[in-house]
Amino acid sequence: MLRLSNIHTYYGNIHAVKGVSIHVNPGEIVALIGGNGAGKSTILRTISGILKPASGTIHFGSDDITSLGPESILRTGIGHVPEGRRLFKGLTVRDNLILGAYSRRDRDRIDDDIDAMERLFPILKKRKGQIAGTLSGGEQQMLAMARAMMARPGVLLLDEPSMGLAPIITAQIYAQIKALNLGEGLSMLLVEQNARLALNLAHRGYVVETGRIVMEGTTGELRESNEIQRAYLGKGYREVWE
Amino acid sequence: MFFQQLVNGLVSGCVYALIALGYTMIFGILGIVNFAQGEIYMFGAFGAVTVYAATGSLALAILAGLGAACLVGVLLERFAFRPLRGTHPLVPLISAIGASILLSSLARFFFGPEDRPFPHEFSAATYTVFSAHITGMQLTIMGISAALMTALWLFLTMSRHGKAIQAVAMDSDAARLSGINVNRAYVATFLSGSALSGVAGMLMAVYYNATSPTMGLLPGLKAFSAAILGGVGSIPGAIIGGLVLGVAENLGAAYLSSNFKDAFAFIALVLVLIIRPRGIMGQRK
Ligand SMILES: Nc1ncnc2c1ncn2[C@@H]1O[C@H](COP(=O)(O)OP(=O)(O)OP(=O)(O)O)[C@@H](O)[C@H]1O
Ligand SMILES: [Mg+2]
Repeated sequence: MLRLSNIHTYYGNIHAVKGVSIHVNPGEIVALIGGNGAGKSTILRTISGILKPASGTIHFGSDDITSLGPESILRTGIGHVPEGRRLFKGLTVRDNLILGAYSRRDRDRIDDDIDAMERLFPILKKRKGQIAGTLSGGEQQMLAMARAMMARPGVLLLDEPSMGLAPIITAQIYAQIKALNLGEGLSMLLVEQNARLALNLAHRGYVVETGRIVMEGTTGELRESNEIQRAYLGKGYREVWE
Repeated sequence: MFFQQLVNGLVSGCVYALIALGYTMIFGILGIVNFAQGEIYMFGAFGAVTVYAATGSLALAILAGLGAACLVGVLLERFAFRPLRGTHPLVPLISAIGASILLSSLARFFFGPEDRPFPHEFSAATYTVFSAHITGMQLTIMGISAALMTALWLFLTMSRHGKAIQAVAMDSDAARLSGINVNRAYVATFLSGSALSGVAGMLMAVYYNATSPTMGLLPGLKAFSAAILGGVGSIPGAIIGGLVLGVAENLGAAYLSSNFKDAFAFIALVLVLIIRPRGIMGQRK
């Protein structure tokens, strides 16, 4: 459904993504895990058109979207919930949702979709008129996801939805992500530093290190791998220190 | 005397506010200071005067003034600023100063260096309120300014496209990820800012019955001060800053020294910034 082939992306002369090939199948949740500065966010930004790859191709369905701008890519059905939420902080919750649907032509259906988002994230209904910047971290993450959903994407790119959230809030957000995947059949590419969290939710995963995919497999396989356990799940570390 | 100066101050304040809105909107969305805002004002006035002299139609003159101002604004966005996006902030600033010099030279070339009167007699009726004499033209300036500011406010806060412009100003990458075309938002911002400055230029051309290639210089600088005074990036700030500046310079000229009229605007700016470095309505980043 979404397929990257041999993508290279630069920031000036910093080579941040070095020949990445990954794909996401319909209805699938795919995790991208890796440490700080591995290039995970850069991969997502390249998919959504904020960054242009220096070489390689990106296909969505049968369309080649490599050279499209972000607005066109969104319209083909790829939504992106960026790292750090990036809400329109001075606007109300409702305005954020309305702007999420900015690319849509079927304006008469937008109100129904806002209702649907408020059913999925009931807190947003309560906070409707509140300025987005004054929401709590968890509420902001929910609004960021709901805003992206307002464009009715077929694939959602999620960048560190758990960032800075208490475990109980993270659990709630992950339950909502799962509900979106099951309920709407939405495919997802999920970036996480918290590998345990991502591998529990996703079907498949890739491990990114310094701009390259160094390992891939079903989440079951990845969880069993010794390297992953050592580097990302913190086993062994525990045995040594406790 | 006091009320008279207050009214005169509010009239010039309205004009500063209209120009300051252009500065503040463009700064808010692009993070650059468009130093050519005063030249947009001047082209608005020249467009109107030229077409009025040729056709004698006030409606056509207004359209021409608006058209000239908007055209200059869009050309600036496209050629003076867009190619420099992503460069060091000083680079577009220098480009803006260059554009401003180019535009006033062009005006001198096409319209000549002398003052041109606005060739139309407007009603000289005056009204007396609290011992202040208010002319029909002053009422017109205040009325049109208030209407335009209200319209701008409604557009930005109520309409989908206005909210999209605010969204681009708050976070342009997030706006792109929501499907908002940021270039279109930049053009819309330049268009509305230029239209307001163009109207201000036309109003002043009629008010003082004069247009000249350098007419935009001082109002441009004062409006820039007004935008800073109000808190750059803030729309209500630009309006308040403009009015405060206009009133301050008229009262200063009346009660202190009329020789220093132009200096009072800048003195007011310095005083406010000492007390409130972010400007009246400015917010901490
Ligand atoms: N705007 C930028 N300009 C220059 N270099 C950048 C920029 N953004 C990221 N980089 C560099 O690109 C590399 C990949 O960064 P990226 O943000 O994709 O990592 P990440 O895997 O998302 O990390 P994290 O988990 O910390 O978010 C890093 O070395 C980073 O320093
Ligand atoms: Mg990241």
